[in-house]
Parts: sequence; C-alpha cells; structure tokens
Amino acid sequence: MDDLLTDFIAETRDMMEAIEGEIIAWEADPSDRTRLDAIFRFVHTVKGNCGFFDFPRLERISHAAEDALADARSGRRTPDQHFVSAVLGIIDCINDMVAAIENGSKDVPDGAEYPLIAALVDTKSTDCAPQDQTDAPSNEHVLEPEAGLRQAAPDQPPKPTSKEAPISAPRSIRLPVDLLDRVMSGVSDMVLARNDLANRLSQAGNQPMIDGPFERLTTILSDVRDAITRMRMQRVELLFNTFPRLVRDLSHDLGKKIVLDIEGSDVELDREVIEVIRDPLVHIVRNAIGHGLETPEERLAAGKSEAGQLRIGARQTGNRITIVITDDGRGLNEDKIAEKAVANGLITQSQREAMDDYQIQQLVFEPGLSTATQVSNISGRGVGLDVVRDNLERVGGWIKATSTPGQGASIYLHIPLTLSIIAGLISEVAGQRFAIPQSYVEEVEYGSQPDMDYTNMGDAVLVTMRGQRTRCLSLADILGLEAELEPLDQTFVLIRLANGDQFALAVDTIHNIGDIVVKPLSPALLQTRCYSGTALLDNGQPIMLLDLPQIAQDCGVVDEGRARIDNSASNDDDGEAAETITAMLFTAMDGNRKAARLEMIKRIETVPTHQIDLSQAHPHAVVNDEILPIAGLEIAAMNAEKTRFLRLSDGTRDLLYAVREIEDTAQLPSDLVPVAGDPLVEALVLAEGTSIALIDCNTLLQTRGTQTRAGAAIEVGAR
Amino acid sequence: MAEVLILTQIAGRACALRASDVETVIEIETITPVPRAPKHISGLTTLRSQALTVIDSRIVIGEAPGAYPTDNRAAVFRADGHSYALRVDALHDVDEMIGDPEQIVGGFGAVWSRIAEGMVETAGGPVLLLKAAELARTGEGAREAS
Repeated sequence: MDDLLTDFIAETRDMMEAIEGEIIAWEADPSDRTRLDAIFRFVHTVKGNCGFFDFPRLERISHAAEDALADARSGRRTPDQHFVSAVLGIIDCINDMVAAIENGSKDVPDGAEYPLIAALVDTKSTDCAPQDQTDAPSNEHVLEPEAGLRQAAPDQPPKPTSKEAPISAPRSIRLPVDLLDRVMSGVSDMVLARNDLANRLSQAGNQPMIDGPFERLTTILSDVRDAITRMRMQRVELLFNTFPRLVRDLSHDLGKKIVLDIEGSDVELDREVIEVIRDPLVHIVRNAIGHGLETPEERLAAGKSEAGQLRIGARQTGNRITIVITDDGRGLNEDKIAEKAVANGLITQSQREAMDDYQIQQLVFEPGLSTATQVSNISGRGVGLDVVRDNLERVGGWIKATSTPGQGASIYLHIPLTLSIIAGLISEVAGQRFAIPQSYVEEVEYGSQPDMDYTNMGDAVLVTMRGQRTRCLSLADILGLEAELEPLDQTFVLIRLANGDQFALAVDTIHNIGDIVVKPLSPALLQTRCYSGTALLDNGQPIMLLDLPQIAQDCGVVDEGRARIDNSASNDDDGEAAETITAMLFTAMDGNRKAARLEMIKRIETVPTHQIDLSQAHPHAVVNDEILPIAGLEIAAMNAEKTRFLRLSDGTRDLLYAVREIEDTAQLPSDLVPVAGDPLVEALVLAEGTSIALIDCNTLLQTRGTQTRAGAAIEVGAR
Repeated sequence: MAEVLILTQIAGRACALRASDVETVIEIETITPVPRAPKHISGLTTLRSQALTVIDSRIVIGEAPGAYPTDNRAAVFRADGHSYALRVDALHDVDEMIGDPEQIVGGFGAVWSRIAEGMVETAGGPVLLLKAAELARTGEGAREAS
C-alpha cells in the first residue's frame, strides 16, 4: 500500500508539473479547448485515484473541480477570470494536500477546501457541483485508472505503462535511478570487456570468421551506450514549466506586468544537472522580476512598453548548454554594486577605479554582496548568486552577467551537458596517469618549445608562454611525487579556471583526450583535496580526476583581485563568433607558412627520429605503440633528433603532418580563395597581410590517413 | 539460523566480518596508488567497472606497512554509498556466530575498540567481530595511531 501511495504522490506531482504551463496558457485564453481538456484530465485522474485511497477531502475538492470543468467543456458555462482563479486555487490546494499526505502531516487546515469549492460555483447558474460525492466512481478507477483517459480521448490507444498519459505526454515509465545506474555500469563493463577482446583479437591476427561479428558487436554496443546516456537526459522543459506560474504569481504580487518568453524547452540535460540548476534559475528569475523589471508606471515613464519582457532560453552548443535569462528592465546598477563591494571590503577603491563596467557587473556573483536594501519575500530568499556560481563551477560550468543601463540585463549560465561524462586530458607524471578536465585547459606547450621560458623566482616557478608570464605549478610537487623529466623536458598545460585565474601545470607527458565517466570518490580520498572524482581508463585501470580549482586555491595561485582585473575581460569572447576559421599557423617542412583547421588537429606529436620509418613508399612513424602515416615530410629539413607533427584526425582516421615550426592559432577570415591544381590545399586565406595555404585535412586523411584503433577505443572505452 | 561470519586474520589476530556486510571477496590484482591519500588507503582497484577504495586494515590499527604479509584477497563492502576493498592478512572461511558479541574486561585497546563490535564465539574459537563501516570512516584514527 505504501508503494501505491508513493506512486500516487509522484504521479500527481509529475502531472502537476506538466500542466503548470497549460494552466497559465488557459488563463490567457480561457476558450482554449485543449488546455481545458488537459486540466480536466488532471483533476479527473486525481479524483479517480483518490477513490482508491481514503482521502475524502482531496476527492471532494477534485470532484468539485472536475464537475465545474466538465460544465465548461460541455459549454454549459463560459470560463471567465473568476472561474480560472477558482480552478487555480483548487489546483494549489491539491498540491498542498498531496504535500501534506507525503509528509504525513496535516498542513492543510480542516475545511480549507470549502471556500475554494464555493468559489467555483457559477455565479450565473445555481447548479452547485459537489452534491454527489458519495457515489462510487472509485470502483472502476481501482481497476482501471486509465478509464478517464479513454473517456476523454477515445481515439488514443490504451497505454498500460503510461500513467502520465492523461496529459498527452509521450509514453513513459517510471524507473528508479539506481536501476538506470546499474544498467549504465553494466554497459561500461561490456565496453571494457569488448576492449579487452579487441586487444586479444588483434594479437591473434586477422580472423575473418570472428572479425565480422565482432564489428557488429561493437556497433551495437555503441548504439546501446548512446541510448543509455540519453536515458539519463530530461528535457529542460520540465524545469521551464514551473516558470510561467512563478512569473504570474510574482507579477501579481508586485503589480508588474510581464511577458514571459520561453524558448529551447526541447534541449535535453542530464537529470542531475537539472537538479543543480533548478534553484539558481528560480533565484535569477526572482531577481529579474524583483529588481530588474520596473513597474508599469516606471516603464511608461521611461518610454518602454508597459509590460516587461522576460526571456528564458536554452541552447545547446557542442557539449555545453547555455541558458540565458534576459529582462528588459533597468539593468544592473554598476555604481551601486561597486559602492557596496567597496563598502563590504570585496574590492578596494583603487581596484574599483581600474574596473570597467563588465567587471563590476560580475561582482554580483561575489559572496557578501546584495544590493537589495530591504529583504522582501521576492529577493533575499533562497540561495545567493555566489552559491549559484560556486555550484556551477563545481560541475564545470560558469556564469556571467551583462547589462546595459536602462535596457536590461542578461545572465548567462554555461553548463556542461552531463556531470558524469567529461572530456579529460590524460596526463602522466612519475609514471602515473591523471585526468585534467578539458574545460580548464587553455593550451598545451612543450618545454622544448623555443618561445618557452622557465624561471625560478625563489621557490616559485614562472613560465613564459608566448610572451605571457604565468605562475607554474608542478603536478609532481603537488602530489608529492618525483617528476621523471627535467623541467624543460616537461609539458606545460595552461589552465584557466572558471573565474579567469590562470596557471601552468607541469606534467611529464600528455597522452590523449578522451571522454571519461566520472565516479564519486570516497570521503577518505576527497579529503586529500587534490581530486574531484575517479574514472576508468579503457584498459580498466582507475585514474584520478584532478580538482584544479581546489589545487589552485591550496597552492595560493588564486588571486581574486588580480584575476578579476586582468583576465575577466577576455572571457568576453565566448559569444557568437564572427565568420572566421580557427586555424593553426605553422611553417611546413618546405619552409612555407601554412594553416590547418584547428578542429582537425587532435594534438601535436613530437617524434624521435629513430621512430620514423622512411623505408617504405609512404613514410610512417610509431607514436604510442601505433603506426601512423606521415605527410608533408622533407627529409632534407628533418631535425637530427626529433620532428614535430600535427596529428590530424577526423575521428576515424589519423595522419601525422610534419612541420618545421608551429606558430600560433589564429582567426582567419572565412573568405577562401580556392586553388586549382593542388588537391592537398583547400584554399588560400589571408593572414596578417599575406596569403597562406590552408591544407585540406579531409583529403589528406582520406587519401593517406589510417584507421585507428585508439580513436575508437578511447571514445567508447572511457564510458 | 545463526548469523554467518567471514573469518579473517588482521595483523596476526583472528577477526571476523558479518557476511551480510560483505558484498563479495576479490583477489586484488593491481592497486593504483593515489598520491596524497591517507596512509591506510592503499589506492584504488576495480571490481568490474567500479572503482574500489582499498583500505589496508593493518595500517588502520597502527601497524607499519608491510609488517604482515597478505594473500591479496580482500572483502568488498559498501559504506555511506561508496565501495571499499578491505586488505587483510588472509581471508579464511565462513562460520556461524555463536551467541552475541561481548565486551571483555579492560577493552580491546583504543583503536581496536573503535572498529570492533565485540568478541564472538565460533566453532573454531573466539574472534573479534569488526564493524566494516567504521573501518571506512577511519581517517583521523589512523593518523593518531601511526
């Protein structure tokens, strides 16, 4: 019975969430029949289910609403504002009652439902609804909870598994999260077993009998893995559905008029992420309505339309979701924010003078800053924006604010698509591997690079990477290990934290980038303050994920003031990029400057000359136990010891492209001048006043690339 | 039916864990060390695709690393939502518990008392019944002891 009750509560909650939006839409247009039907089905289902349990009050109130709505559906009464409010009141009451049932408390005072029921009574007719509460529709509903659905929508097929069906949601079933996690870890096991098998098969040589079915298995497995990953996803709609009601209630309370515009409801997010951002979003929306938007009089006086615009939009770009909350209110008051920040000791007066508007705007995310002079129930409730920022940063996201005085403010939340799968840079120090979240990595530089400079300043180490001097931390020192390489032979990973702080992390080598599935750490390992999680490599070995913000803090390289002033402005370039190509500029072996599209470059490999094999028609090199074909090599120009290559990859094929020197990445204009005659050159582009050949990575990979085992294995293996 | 115990030897002492606390017994093949981890944490190992935190019970009670040999078998248990593998000298057998855990006059010693439920009798003689979850929560205790 307890299980049934839990189901009933959960189901009612779900339906309630789903119809929130419908209710508001119905209020805007009470004649909208489909909305009316949805709401009717909701109260009908609640009523039916109540008969099953012994909840006379809940049944009474839903019955009353059902009758009234039935009248409206059959055209016996026209829904007016009064009627809508009464129905809304009833739905709220149902919500309270369900919450009371869940808590086992009696939060809803006895008899509270009667005024609500009375409010439903049609003032124009005498037909009062709840006369017949004791009749027994319940027996039917005990056996067939979907009976109502069939009545309401006779042409829909019965959906035995879909308890949410009455609100025309897609077919769905409810599953415990544990079960999902078990299935997911089962699939991860299968992938590991597959990788193991793949290794053994490749050792055993070519076996057509087995290879075919094995390929098939691989394909199926990767499909299943995708599907499982999607099982954890939910539409952000679930979150957004609560906003119309929130906005409506707040605008009524505050006497403001607001037009809410929601877009991107179909974007999907990991359920855990949705939980993380639920409160922050509500908080931001409350803030926007409470502080941002003006009253109708103020707006008219300012020459704006009477109703304020509030837009909530979600957009997926790559493996990130951006949620933007924009209002066209008065905007952030930089002077007030700065004044407050100085008063609270967050910044000094001289820092304040050096800051531009954008930097001041970001201060709203600092702890201890609230510009609200009085705490109302609109703002000053729930979490502060600093907590919002911390929560987002913990999951690898970030937040920023922009504002134009008098025209409104926008808050951008950038959130990773899922918490549990992240791109990690696998690095090695002292023979052990550690994962660095890719989102923090700005760039990777080899110590042997001519423009790298490494200096000891007391105990501190500074590196100069392309003219920029950065504090350098040695991962070996942090972890109490002995680095295997001399500092200048190490690899430096330039880390940029979400707040803009930068530092370089010295590691012995960098292996590859792979998607890794992050699992939580036991408390004993969390207390090391070095790691944020663990993951399994494709060979089944565990790997620790470095907690870079924590490390930076413990090593004292977080300098709030400096970071904010020096770097936050450059955060700005995250907006929509203009029409440019991001490319890597380099000097090819033939001495000409060329460019390659950055997205095609997997990484830069430095290969010792003895591992380059020139004896075949096409040269090859051995990199990390893999044989890769080489293009662009000029023997005459080869360095005696090692050669650098751009490792090009399109995901399935890899190729090394020899270079003499790597310059920099650059934004190139997208107007390409095609060249005839050379299939390996995609086009000529203009860079710094000279024309540069953009190499055609796709053609190169197709004609010369080799299918890689690693490419596929890393990708699936990590999950 | 009497409760079943898994008999084990820790730092030369006869100990036992409740079989209901132990998910499985594994043979540890490789342990991935975790730099900066507390001393009693040997590192991570894997059971299927799950990472297990390896706790060396001998270090928990204050013995030096390597003072006692191990047969590399470990008892896997869950505590507070995390999975652990407990390294011991050896895992022997299962046996039934006779009677209830008892305290002895003078106690088992500071560290042992914290992780032990009490002495229990088995057909093979008395053993010290340990609390698996307490072993996982041991952070500070281990440092005091070492």
